[in-house]
Amino acid sequence: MRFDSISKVEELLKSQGYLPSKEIATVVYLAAILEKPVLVEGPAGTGKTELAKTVAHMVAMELIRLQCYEGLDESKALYEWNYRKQLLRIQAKDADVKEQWNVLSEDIFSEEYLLERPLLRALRTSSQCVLLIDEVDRLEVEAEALLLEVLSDFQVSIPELGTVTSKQIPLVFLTSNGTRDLSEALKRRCLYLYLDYPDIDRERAIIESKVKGVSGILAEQIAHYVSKLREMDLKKKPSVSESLDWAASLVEMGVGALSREATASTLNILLKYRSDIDSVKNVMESGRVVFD
Amino acid sequence: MNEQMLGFVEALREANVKISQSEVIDALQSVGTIDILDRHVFRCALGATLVKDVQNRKLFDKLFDVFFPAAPTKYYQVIHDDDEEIDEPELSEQRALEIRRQLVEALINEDQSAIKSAIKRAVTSFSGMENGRPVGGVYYTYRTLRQLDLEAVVKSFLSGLSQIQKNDGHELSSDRSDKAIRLIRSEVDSEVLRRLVGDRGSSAVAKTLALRLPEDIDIVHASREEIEELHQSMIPLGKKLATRLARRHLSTKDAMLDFRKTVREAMSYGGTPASLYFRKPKISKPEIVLLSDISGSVASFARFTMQLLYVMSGSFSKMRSFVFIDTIDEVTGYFDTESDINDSLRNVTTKAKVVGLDGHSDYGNSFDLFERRYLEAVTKRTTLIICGDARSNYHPGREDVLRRLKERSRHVFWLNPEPKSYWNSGDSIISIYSPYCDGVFECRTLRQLEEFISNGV
Ligand SMILES: Nc1ncnc2c1ncn2[C@@H]1O[C@H](COP(=O)(O)OP(=O)(O)O)[C@@H](O)[C@H]1O
Ligand SMILES: [Mg+2]
Repeated sequence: MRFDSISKVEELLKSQGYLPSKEIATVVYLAAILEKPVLVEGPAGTGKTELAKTVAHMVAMELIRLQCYEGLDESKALYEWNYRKQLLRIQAKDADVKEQWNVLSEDIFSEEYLLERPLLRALRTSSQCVLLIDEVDRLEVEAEALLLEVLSDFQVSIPELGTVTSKQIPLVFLTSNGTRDLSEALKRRCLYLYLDYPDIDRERAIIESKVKGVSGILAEQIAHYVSKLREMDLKKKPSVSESLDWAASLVEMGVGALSREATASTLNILLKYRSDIDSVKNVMESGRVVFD
Repeated sequence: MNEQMLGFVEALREANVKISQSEVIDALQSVGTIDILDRHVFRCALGATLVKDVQNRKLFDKLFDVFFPAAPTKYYQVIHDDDEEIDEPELSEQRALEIRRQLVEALINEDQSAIKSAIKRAVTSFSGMENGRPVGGVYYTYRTLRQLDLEAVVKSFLSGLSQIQKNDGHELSSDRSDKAIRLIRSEVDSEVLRRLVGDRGSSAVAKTLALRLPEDIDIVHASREEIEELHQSMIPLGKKLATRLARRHLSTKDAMLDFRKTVREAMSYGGTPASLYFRKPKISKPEIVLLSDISGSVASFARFTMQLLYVMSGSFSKMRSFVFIDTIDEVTGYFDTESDINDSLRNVTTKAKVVGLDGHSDYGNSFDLFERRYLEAVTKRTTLIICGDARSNYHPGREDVLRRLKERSRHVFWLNPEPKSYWNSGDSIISIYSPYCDGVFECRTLRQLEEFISNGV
């Protein structure tokens, strides 16, 4: 899978409601050509997961998702034998003494007893897919080694079945909220894309594309206001997801343009911490963030 | 092209950005698939393949401008795209006025190319750049900005704006003027840079710029801008170190079989242990007691050390902090998880009682008071970290206290923010303390601090 050009990628993403920066489009374009995974890093809610989903959609490929969490291991990421079924099979044949162990073992380590997990599935699908490995930074360090192995050669060896090699290298997106540092080796394998908060124009466009019934003025004001908040020293800065929630609520309330009152009464949608809300209110009262 | 690319990679590596050979190959390959005349795309492609840590992006961008400037760099080309020669000195005020007017108009119209050409004229007229002079770019930027008179430019820019009522209400005039100043500075910077590169070549300019990653900035002598950069890198650095410590704790101990759970589960398969269960190894995290000298010369180092250790406080089972100049005070309470780290640090500098006598560092007295007041803080599980230059203004050192503290604790480490070659000169008495330390480390940069934490604690 290759794209004709970077602007083609831009166009495709936009047509699916995802507003890319030039950088995003460039990295997606390169990933397809070089067949390299993309590590997408950045604060929560900046469109990392959505990017992978949108790419899958726009090229009509299956999206296979591995959601990472602490404690995820090979049996949940790659494959596992269905012990229960294997045991039942063994016990059922117990009476029949003639059955040879080697026949039995060949049988119970066959396809029928295999539980395929996302990584193996991505390697074995017949047509190219998009593999989303979401929130890698939540993995424990040892599990990262497993990923590295799969992403290095796009093959794994299963002792009982032999080596599985992918026919077509998937388009891989790894996302990370940067809660911890990933290993150098993993980073070396990947192209790197840092998704920061969007600039005002792109955020306005995102709001207009995602929130039905929002007026141009309101979208613009929200984008400006939120970018101001991000300059403040807050515990949790509002992200694109919060801008979208806020826009949707304001539309719901019938607010056509921001006012001081509307803002003050809905700050809890943008900000999750009491102390953040208080400090923004203080600043507003002192008149530094003004809307007319 | 390739040569320029390799020079660029070399300069990045020189500045301690780690780039592997396979990444260089990726970069070269990706460049072959794009339109390299689109400078922004070109930058993105190199960024994606070469620099995989957002903390290093700023340095990457600066060096990119040096190696791949926006416009022709050959000196003769630079001369030729400047329309005028420098005027006679007596005409220069007239000319300055005119350039200012041109720039203001361009700013008001938000006309990028007009802004650029005004800046070009300004650099030609004001910087006094001459071919082959071994002067750094900062000097030329400074001269240009001074004669351009930023304040005057911004003032007429704002008044011009208000005349045409081009204020849509979203931006305050202070924001607008900040933005204009930033724009002018960066345009002048890049124009000066472009000409320097034309004159001397990219690699030579990269060397004179001596760009550093935040991790390599000398903390005690950092400029305000550098301090700002350091601040921004503390949280990511803390996270990185916390991961590294966790990794080490994990790899040293293997998981143990959870026998009971395995057998219990096996019951449901007629006694076959279908799954093995493991118990996570217990991680023994160190207990930290930190003593920091916060007197003038080393205060900034102490701040960064405290900040870093608190960012990664999850890696320690317990942490207590004390600060001193000639008297010692406990500041652990200021660092509760609720409050912002900057507030905590501010409280430390304003509220802690560290001056009892003359306000000059007195290590001996501070150690003595620590032993008398807070001895229970130090136990067999404690890693005691002392931060300071051991310049005790010829007061008695009281190394006997440190000896007793060492006997009580697990480890004693000393971090000295002075270059090693200064140790024990003048009133530095680091050598009388070092016998009672498990390690004394020179610690002038975040990188050294980082090394200490990942090897030492
Ligand atoms: N560039 C964009 N275009 C369209 N929607 C976006 C964009 N960036 C973020 N969003 C929206 O913001 C929300 C959060 O995005 P998500 O991908 O879940 O964030 P992340 O994975 O980075 O935490 C989603 O509703 C997504 O649709
Ligand atoms: Mg996500």
